[in-house]
Amino acid sequence: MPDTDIVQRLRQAGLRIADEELTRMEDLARSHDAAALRLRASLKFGDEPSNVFRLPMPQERRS
Amino acid sequence: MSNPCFLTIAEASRLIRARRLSPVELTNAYLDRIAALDGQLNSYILVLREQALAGAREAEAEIMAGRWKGPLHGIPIALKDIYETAGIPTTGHSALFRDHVPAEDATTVRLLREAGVVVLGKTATWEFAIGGPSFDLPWPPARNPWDTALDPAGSSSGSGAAVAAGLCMGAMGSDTGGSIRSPSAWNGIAGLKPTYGLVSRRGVLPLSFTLDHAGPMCWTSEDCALMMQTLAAYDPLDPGSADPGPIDFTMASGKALAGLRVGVVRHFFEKDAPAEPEVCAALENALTVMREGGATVRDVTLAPLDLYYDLCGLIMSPEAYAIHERGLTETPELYGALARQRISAGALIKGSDYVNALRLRAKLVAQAAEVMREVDVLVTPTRHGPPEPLGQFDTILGRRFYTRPFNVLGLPALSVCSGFTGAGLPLSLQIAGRPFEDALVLRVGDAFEKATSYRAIRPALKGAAPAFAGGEAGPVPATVGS
Repeated sequence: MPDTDIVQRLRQAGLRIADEELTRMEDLARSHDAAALRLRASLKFGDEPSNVFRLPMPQERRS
Repeated sequence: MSNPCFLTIAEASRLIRARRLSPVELTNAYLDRIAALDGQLNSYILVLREQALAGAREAEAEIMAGRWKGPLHGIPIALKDIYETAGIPTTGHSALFRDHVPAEDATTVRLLREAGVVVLGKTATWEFAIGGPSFDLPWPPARNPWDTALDPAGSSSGSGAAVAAGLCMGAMGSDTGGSIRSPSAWNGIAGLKPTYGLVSRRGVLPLSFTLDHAGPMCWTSEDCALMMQTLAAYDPLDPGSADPGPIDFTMASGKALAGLRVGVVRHFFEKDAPAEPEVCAALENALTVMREGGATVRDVTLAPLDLYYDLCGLIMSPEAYAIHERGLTETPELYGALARQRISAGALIKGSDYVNALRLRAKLVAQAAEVMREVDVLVTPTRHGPPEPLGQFDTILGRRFYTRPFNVLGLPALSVCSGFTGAGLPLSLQIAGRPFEDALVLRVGDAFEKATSYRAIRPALKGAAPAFAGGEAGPVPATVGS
């Protein structure tokens, strides 16, 4: 059976995945892919002021 | 005194200071109890018998000489085996780090030693704080003292089981998505994930740089506060460390609920991921206790639980993969299957998705801050239900719990025992606060514990000696009720 897209991506990353692990790996990867799709739908270009990114920690660090 | 292993830190500390309890005798009592009972639990992967006794003798000599250091002096504790300890193996519960012997203590370990604690040993964890309750590692997974067929939850599984079973007086855990609060919930103890940056992570094996928190796990909220008084300290060696100034963790003698504004994030556990009826009943009971103490209670709305889960996964996974990439590509056979699979999935997340998850995280932090202008604390259950059987991790992994939002937000969040099921298993309540209001969160937990009777019940273990106070074994109170 040919490798799925997810298996190809894992192997391109240099990871050795045993056959018995493929199902769980594909489940985990699909879960992340779905989360990323939802994330992209909830953020739009231009919906925040330009260049305000900062690590979103609730506290200020000591200077 | 029949069994000092069921004293709280607060109680033992008063006795030790008054020279009515010997740290050496106390430490020996714990070491004997661990030897007799931990075969049922596997909560420790390394017991430091000689070092512990040496530390206890030193503490006792100092106290007898009039040099009492404070409430942790002579108190026996345990460390999750991701806390680095100088000259003592720190394995992460992994074959990969079986021979890892750090040269230095983690900052938190150093602070605790300076406060005079006695370190009993290193406790079991999910592999590198992520794997799961695995059976393919050099050490077995910890078991739940309320029923050894059940999962103690993780990843600070051994710390939670050991505290509940009276195998240490307090322990250190770590929390990236709930790993202090989940085992606190399922073992019926108190556990605090502090505000991000309040407790140093220097020398704690990392999982996710922007979500990892280090914190205490104890039988009571008051004991967590006693540990936090030592642990909350700016650390220039941890780039994420914060310096909010001195924080007074003294408890408030039952006054914490008067005038408190409580926000219930009801959509988390009624709509987004419904909790079991006994959990909801325990939460309503807790709200009644809070109202009777003078609090006002209202429902509040945060972003949907699923969104927090999405962000937590998209942030945690690539950060964990960045840490473990070399190990996973060069020696994957040294990882257990669960950790290898869960961390490897992080290789597939795009850089843009990671950065955008951080952008959206900032929006959620701002949204939560707005909500918390109207309330002082947020409450939810910690877990959707009581402990589940060990070995059903796929089922558990698919569930939604209520801990992850507070890792994403960086807010302090405490789990306390909110009662028991009809079968005698612990239920949980989560209390979260504003940044650096950890002491308030602990005071609310302390007030709830003192207004209820749940701290009087310990799990029963086969062959265990009778409890000192409150009661080990015996009937567990049916369901909830203050």
